[in-house]
Amino acid sequence: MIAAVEKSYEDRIAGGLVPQRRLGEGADVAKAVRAIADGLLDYATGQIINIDGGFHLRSL
Amino acid sequence: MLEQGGGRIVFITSISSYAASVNRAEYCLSKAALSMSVALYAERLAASGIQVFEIRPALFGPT
Repeated sequence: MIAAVEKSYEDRIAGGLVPQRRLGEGADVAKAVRAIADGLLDYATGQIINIDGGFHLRSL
Repeated sequence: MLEQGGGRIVFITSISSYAASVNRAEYCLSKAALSMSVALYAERLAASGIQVFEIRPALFGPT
């Protein structure tokens, strides 16, 4: 079942669903957490970091 | 964190924080609440040197 769902998303992604043209993986979240933990975002709080390949962007 | 003068909190939410999926209402509601928690904690804890972040993933494959 997972394979079937994954295949349907592969097709949709190839069609432009996600601007960066791939599904996310665990390391994508881990890297964002690491940037925060390493103190690279010291003058920021309450920030939302979308790890979604640009999916949240609206386009016309 | 208060005792040490600061720190960082990271909440992992989801696209379901703002995109409604009627077949998993409980998940959406709980993630939306988590997103608001980020705003509230960030405001409340900023003066104590504690940063609060929200990581909002979407469209992840099976791992």
